[in-house]
Amino acid sequence: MGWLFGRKKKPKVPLPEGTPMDEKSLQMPRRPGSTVIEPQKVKEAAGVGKAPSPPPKKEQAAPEAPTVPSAAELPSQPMYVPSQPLYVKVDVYQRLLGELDDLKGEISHLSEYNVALMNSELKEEGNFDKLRRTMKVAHDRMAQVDKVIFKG
Amino acid sequence: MDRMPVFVKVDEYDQVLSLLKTVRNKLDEARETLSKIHDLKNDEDHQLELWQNSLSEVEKKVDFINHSLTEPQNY
Repeated sequence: MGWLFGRKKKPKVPLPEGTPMDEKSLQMPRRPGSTVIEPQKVKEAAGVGKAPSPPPKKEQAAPEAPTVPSAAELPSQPMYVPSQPLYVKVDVYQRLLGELDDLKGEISHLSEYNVALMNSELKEEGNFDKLRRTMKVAHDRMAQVDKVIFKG
Repeated sequence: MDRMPVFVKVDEYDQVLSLLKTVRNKLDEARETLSKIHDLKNDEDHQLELWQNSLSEVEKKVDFINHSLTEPQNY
């Protein structure tokens, strides 16, 4: 085992001593004739830190007014344009009035049907209550019969 | 000479159109509600039929018990 953890031997040749390092000691050597652009120059060229200058005014002609397509180019419009009066023939108008009268009559009939349905629902509800009470009494009586028969 | 057609001017007819649209929506809603009520009524009819069948069974059993107790010699 002594061969493994034996005492270290001192080198016969002295080791080179280190030199103090500065930032430039880590830079790559410059080639002759090459140009180096420093970051500060790049910032200056990009205008970093300067106040933004207003965009140059372009001297352009006035914008053209939107052209209105002619009537032939317009897509098919609905038959009636809103907020304009409508003209209908007299006979159509009379028929419209008659149909409106009929509609009002039909709607009043529907209201009457609603009332009848409501009354029917109320009666049905009452009958359901009566049925529920009847069946409860029948159930109680059957329970009494069951008790009496099993007691005997 | 031909009779010239006579027209009636209807102002604010766009309001009429809007009202008619509302009425149509309401009619659709009413039709949907009526369909639901119809379904409920069908379910109710089915339950009533079940009720009637059960009532018939109960009546038969009560009759059997009644006859068993009143006429035991026949059973």
